[in-house]
Amino acid sequence: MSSPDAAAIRPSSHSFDLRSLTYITHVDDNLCCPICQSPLVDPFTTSCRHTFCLACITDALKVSKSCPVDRSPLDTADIKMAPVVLANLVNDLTVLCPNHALGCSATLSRGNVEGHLKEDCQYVTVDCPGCGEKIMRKDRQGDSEDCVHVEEACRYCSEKHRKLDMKSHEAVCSAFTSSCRHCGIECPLSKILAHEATCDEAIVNCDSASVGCPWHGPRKESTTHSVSCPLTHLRPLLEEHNSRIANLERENKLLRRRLEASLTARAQTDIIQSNTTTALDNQTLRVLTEQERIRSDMERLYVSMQELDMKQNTLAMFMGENMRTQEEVAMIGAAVNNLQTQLHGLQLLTIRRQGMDQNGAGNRSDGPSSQVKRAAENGVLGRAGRECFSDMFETRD
Amino acid sequence: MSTFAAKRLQKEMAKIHQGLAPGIFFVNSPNLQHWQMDIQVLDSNPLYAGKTFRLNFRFSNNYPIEAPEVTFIRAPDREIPMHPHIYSNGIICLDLLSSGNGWSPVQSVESVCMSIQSMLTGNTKNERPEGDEAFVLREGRSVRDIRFVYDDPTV
Ligand SMILES: [Zn+2]
Ligand SMILES: [Zn+2]
Ligand SMILES: [Zn+2]
Ligand SMILES: [Zn+2]
Ligand SMILES: [Zn+2]
Ligand SMILES: [Zn+2]
Ligand SMILES: [Zn+2]
Repeated sequence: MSSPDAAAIRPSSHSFDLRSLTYITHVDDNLCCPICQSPLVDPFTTSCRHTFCLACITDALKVSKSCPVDRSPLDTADIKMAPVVLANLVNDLTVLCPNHALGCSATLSRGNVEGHLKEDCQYVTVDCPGCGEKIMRKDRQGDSEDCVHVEEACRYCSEKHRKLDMKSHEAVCSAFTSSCRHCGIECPLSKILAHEATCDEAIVNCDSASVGCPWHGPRKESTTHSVSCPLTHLRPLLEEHNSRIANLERENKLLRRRLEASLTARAQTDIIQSNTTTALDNQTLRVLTEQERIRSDMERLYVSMQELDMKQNTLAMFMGENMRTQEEVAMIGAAVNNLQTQLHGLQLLTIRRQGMDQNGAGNRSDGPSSQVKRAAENGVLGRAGRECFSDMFETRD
Repeated sequence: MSTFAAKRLQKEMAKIHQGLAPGIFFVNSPNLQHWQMDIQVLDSNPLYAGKTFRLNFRFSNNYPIEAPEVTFIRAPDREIPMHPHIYSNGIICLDLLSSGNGWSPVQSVESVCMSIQSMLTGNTKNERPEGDEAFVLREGRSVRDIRFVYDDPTV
């Protein structure tokens, strides 16, 4: 993957797949597509409210017409662009240039990647202006129309090299010399930087300059200074503090960005909500009035129900009393009947006794036999009446 | 392998290094499109207690849009688990693994391992699928053995 072979060199076309970028900061999972697990590219939202890269969900729908997350039925017509806030948020993420592996050290916001590849990146392949062979942009010699594969002589050592390779030759060419900025010594360009970095005459700052020591002078004197420099001992402590502060600042910045993002999102929902609220207000008012009216109706109904209830109770009481009265009447009727029977029995006895008395002391003109006969008839009737009521007597007991 | 599939697998690999669900272990990956994972059944199911099983994953260029090919493989101390949906050559009958309606591109190596783990956990039958022997004679050899021959040039 790191070797810049022909296959790895990206074509400088627009059809670059942003999903394969490398992000230099940690990206919140909420900003990642559930399919490619990378930060969303062209975020689109489904009717079931899941968000994917447009390319990812399109590919997935070619295989199965359902939402990859919840498997509800889904078609390309059911997806639409996600809110712009989200697209902006993911386009602001910082990425490495896609040609990082080939040597480009640029870091840039994702939204600028395509522009960088098109205009600036020195590691995209272009055609050699002379022969048309593929070369990297950095190997083109400005706007020259010459073929970079033609050999020419080095300006310093006269060795032959292709134009393409000249820069890398000059960096190591022993005849290409330069003088030290500090001590003036001559040495090849390839070694001058290494010499300057250690040159005794070079003006350096105190090691503790970062924590406030103002001393500076030639390198050869710096050791003597740092022995006497009061900040030398404090430096580790101060540096630790500094790095801690830097960390906190970084964290703070990150949190602020997140807060802003969520506030923007929040503001949007608020706007939507307030719009809906005004529309709802009138309706709510109507619903509330209606509810109030229904409640007072209900209360009135409740009161009349209670009244009816009471009336029904009284009625039931009356009916109970009525029934008891009827029973008593029936009982009384039975008792009366009984008494009547007894009375007839007594009358019969009395009549017999009178008959015997008259038989003994001379007959009365009125024939007693007809009287007895009448009474007997009554007596039979009386017994029949008693038998008829006896049922009721038994059940009552 | 497509950069898209490679990128997704690299993501999964990075997550795996941060930790996996209990009973799931990364074994190795000779290359990005070929991984091996070990799984253990966590409860005390007597069929699988104390045993570890090895899964072989192969990813196509179109992963995760397409399902990976997942089979159990034999290795030292690694058997093919007994299950009415697992053939003795390691082929697994699991809806999730069929490209079509079973698979979903939000699945991952870890989630597939977890599904297979729970498929074993819930099983009580110490048996192979119906027609296992015939199936293995017909299919098994060609799937597993041949694959290994061209997969692993070091063998
Ligand atoms: Zn995606
Ligand atoms: Zn969904
Ligand atoms: Zn670049
Ligand atoms: Zn050329
Ligand atoms: Zn030279
Ligand atoms: Zn010098
Ligand atoms: Zn100092």
